[in-house]
Amino acid sequence: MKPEQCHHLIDYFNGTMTSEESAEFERHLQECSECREELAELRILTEDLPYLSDPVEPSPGLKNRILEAAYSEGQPIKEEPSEFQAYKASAEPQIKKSKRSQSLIIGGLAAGLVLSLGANIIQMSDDKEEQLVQSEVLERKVALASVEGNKTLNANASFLKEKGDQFMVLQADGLPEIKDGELYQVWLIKGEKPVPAGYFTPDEKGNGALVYKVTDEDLDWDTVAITVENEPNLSAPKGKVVLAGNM
Amino acid sequence: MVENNDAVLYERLAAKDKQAFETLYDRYEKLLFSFAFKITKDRGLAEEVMQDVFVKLWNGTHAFESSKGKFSSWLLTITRNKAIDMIRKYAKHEHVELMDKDALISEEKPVDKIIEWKEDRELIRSAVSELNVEQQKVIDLFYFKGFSQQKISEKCGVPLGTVKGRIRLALKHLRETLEKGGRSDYEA
Ligand SMILES: [Zn+2]
Repeated sequence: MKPEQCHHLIDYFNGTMTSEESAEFERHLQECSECREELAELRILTEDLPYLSDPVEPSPGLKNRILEAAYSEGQPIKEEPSEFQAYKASAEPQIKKSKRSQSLIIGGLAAGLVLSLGANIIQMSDDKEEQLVQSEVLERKVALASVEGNKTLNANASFLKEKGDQFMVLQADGLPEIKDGELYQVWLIKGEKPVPAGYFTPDEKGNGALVYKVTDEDLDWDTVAITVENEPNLSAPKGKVVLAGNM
Repeated sequence: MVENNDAVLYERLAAKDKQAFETLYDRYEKLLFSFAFKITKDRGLAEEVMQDVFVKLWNGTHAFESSKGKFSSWLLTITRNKAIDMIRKYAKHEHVELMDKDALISEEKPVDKIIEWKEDRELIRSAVSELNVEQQKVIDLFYFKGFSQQKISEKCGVPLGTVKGRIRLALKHLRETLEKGGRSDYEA
């Protein structure tokens, strides 16, 4: 009969065990050549699986955000600020927020778009921003209103085209505070069919923003709505609708 | 040659060569992002995965050693680990699955772009399509969802003790089909 530990290989591979259990299994690995071989085999056999992924285009600007995050970690940035850094710094008053790294969701392109749309909120000190937003074409803009008639609660969804891709840039302010673990979910709705279109958590001032890349299937929607949910990207809204706007 | 090149670039990266880091980034951005997206089904989460992987690559938290095998496989593994971590954290329940229709291979879209890793993808897709539905499902639950043995046993309705065997069998079958190369294409 096999030792009990031999049955934990799958959970070890998938990291579903506690760190103590993992450490125990690693001790077992030292002694059990069968498990060592099976683990090596699993690694080899799964090596090709990532290539099953359908190609998905990363957002423009992801690279700059990641490089900046990498290079700025734990040390002051010595170089001349890049276009992106200048950008991000000026965008910060409006889009600083969140427990999750919102800078990722609203960086680069998004920050530019938010800036270009909210130019009356943030005065631009540098016209680099202008250059960056020129390649984007505003296709339409939808105003969202509070379902409960709350006048201080506002949101805009702008649809922009950049290099053939359509992006929705959503900005909201006056958002009521939400509980820990809750989030604002954005939906694009066509008839009865809602499609999740990103989510965000607002900052302490109740401002929130996101950029969503609109895929072809969604082109024909007629409503933008925002709900409060406990989980991201449900297949249909469960929470209450706070904001909505029609085309 | 490419592997060697990756390893050389990694050496330079480890010595804080930004250019080498950015070259590796460019080389793997789309593959890793697509892979992270396949697991998380969410652009925001996939971007967080990317940031985590590359920041830790740059600052040395993730350190590659050639004894760990190919650089690309190692990079894909840390990407998978982080992506699975993220779905455990953010998709507390199982609604993510509702959106996904449980398909290991998605419906083919018309070829309208230059598609990266196209040949690999076609080969492996065709190999996957030769597996039976149960085998496809067990690979999806195990590899792309990162479920525990217990959960796979529940989802597939098989005894706990047989889960590992089923996974290995499905993966071996897949590998054999792949190794037969493109032969099935000609037979069709
Ligand atoms: Zn063992």
